[in-house]
Amino acid sequence: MPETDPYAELLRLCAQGDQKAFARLYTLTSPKLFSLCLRMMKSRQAAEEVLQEGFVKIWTRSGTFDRRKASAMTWMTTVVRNRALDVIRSKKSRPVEVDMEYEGMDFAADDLTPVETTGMNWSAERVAVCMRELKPQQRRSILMAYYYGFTHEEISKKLEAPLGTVKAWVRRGIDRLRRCLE
Amino acid sequence: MKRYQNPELYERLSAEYVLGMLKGRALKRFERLLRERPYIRYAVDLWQQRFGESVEWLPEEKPPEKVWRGIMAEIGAQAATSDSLREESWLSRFFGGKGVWQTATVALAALLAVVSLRPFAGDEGMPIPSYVAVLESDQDTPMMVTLGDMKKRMVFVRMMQKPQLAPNQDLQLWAVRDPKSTPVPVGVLRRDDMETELKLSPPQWQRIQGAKIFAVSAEPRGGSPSGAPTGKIMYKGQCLDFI
Repeated sequence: MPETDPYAELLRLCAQGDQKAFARLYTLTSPKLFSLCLRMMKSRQAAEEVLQEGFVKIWTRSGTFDRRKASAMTWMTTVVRNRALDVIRSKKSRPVEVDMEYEGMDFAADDLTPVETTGMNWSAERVAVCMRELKPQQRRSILMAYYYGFTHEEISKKLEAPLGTVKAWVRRGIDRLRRCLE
Repeated sequence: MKRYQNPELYERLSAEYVLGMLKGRALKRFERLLRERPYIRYAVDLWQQRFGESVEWLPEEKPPEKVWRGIMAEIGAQAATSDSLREESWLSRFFGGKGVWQTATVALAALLAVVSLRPFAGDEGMPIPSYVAVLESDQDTPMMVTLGDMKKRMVFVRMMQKPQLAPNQDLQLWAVRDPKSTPVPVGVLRRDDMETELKLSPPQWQRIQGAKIFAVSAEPRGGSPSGAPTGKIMYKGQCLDFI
C-alpha cells in the first residue's frame, strides 16, 4: 500500500460533502478512468455514460472507502470498472470486433514502461515487474480481460486460439503473477 | 465446498472474478462465497489492488465537458428526489407537502446541490450552470433536470426516467417567460438517450432568457410543425436563475 496516497484525502473530504474536493478529484483522475472506459465500452457514448455513473457512485459511496484496504485510485477504478462490467453483462451479446486496433495494448503488452513513471507508487511498479515476467500470451490475455472486459470466448476469437488454450494462459498467468507478488 | 479452502483455487477464482471472467452459475456461486467467507473477500480486495494498479499505465484521455455536467445534474437530481428532502422539508410540511410547494422544494434541493458545486467547478475550469429546472409529471414525479450554461449558450437535459412515447413522437422542450406568453421552442430531445445537449444561437438564447417555467410536450417526430406546442404537456417545472 502506498504510504502517501494523493487521492485518499480528497475522497475523505468528499465523504464529508466537500464538493471542491470532488471537482479536484474528477479533474485529476477522470483522464485515466475515461481511458479505461473507452477501452471497455468500445463506444464513446457508452464510455461517457459509464464514467458519469461511476463518478456519481464515487461521490455517493466515498464514505465507504477504506484506505487500509486499497489505494484511492484502485477503489475508484473498481467502482467505475464494475459499472462497465454491469453494462457489458446486461447486453445479451457483444460483437467481438476482430479487426479492432489494440492501440492500447502496445504500451502494456510488450514493454510495461508506464507512460509517466514519475508519481507511480511502489506497488504499481511491483505489479509492472511481475507482469513483465509473464509469457506474452498470458500477459496479453489478462490485460485484454482487464482493460477491455473480454471474456475467455472473446479473447479466443480475437487471438484466434482455442478456448481451452486461452483458459490455460489466463490460469497460468494468474498463478505466476500471484507467486511473483507474494 | 471444502475445495474452496484450497488457496490456489480461491486465489485464481478471485483473480478471474476481478478480471470479470466468471459468468453464469460460476459467477453466482463465487458471489455467494464472497459474502460468506472473509478470506475470499480479502483475496478479491488484494487482486483489485494488484490489477487496479495497471490503470496507471494507460494513456490519459480527457473526457468531454458534458460528462461533468451530467454528474452535476445527477447529483442535483438525487438530492431533489431523496425521500428525506421531499418529506421532511419545513417548506413542504408548512404548506401541506403537495402542489407548488413540493415542486419548489424539489427544485430548491436541486438548486442547492448544483449551486454548491458551481464556484468550485468554476475553479477547475469546468462548465458553470446559469440556471436549473426540475421538470415533473402530473403526479409530481421528478422526470428530468435541465441545466443552462450561459457562457456557451448550451442547454443540457438529463432524464431521470425513460418516458413512454409512441414510435412517431419526440419530446420537445419549451421555455415560458410568463403564463400568458407563447412558449418558446428550446429544442427536440434525443429519443434514445437519457441526455441531450442543445446548442442555442444568440437570438435563441435571448428568447429564453428570463424564462420562469420549462415544459416538455410530446410532438410529432422532429418537433412541432407550428412552432408552438401541439401535443400534451408531459412535464413542467419552475426555472431557478443563478444570475
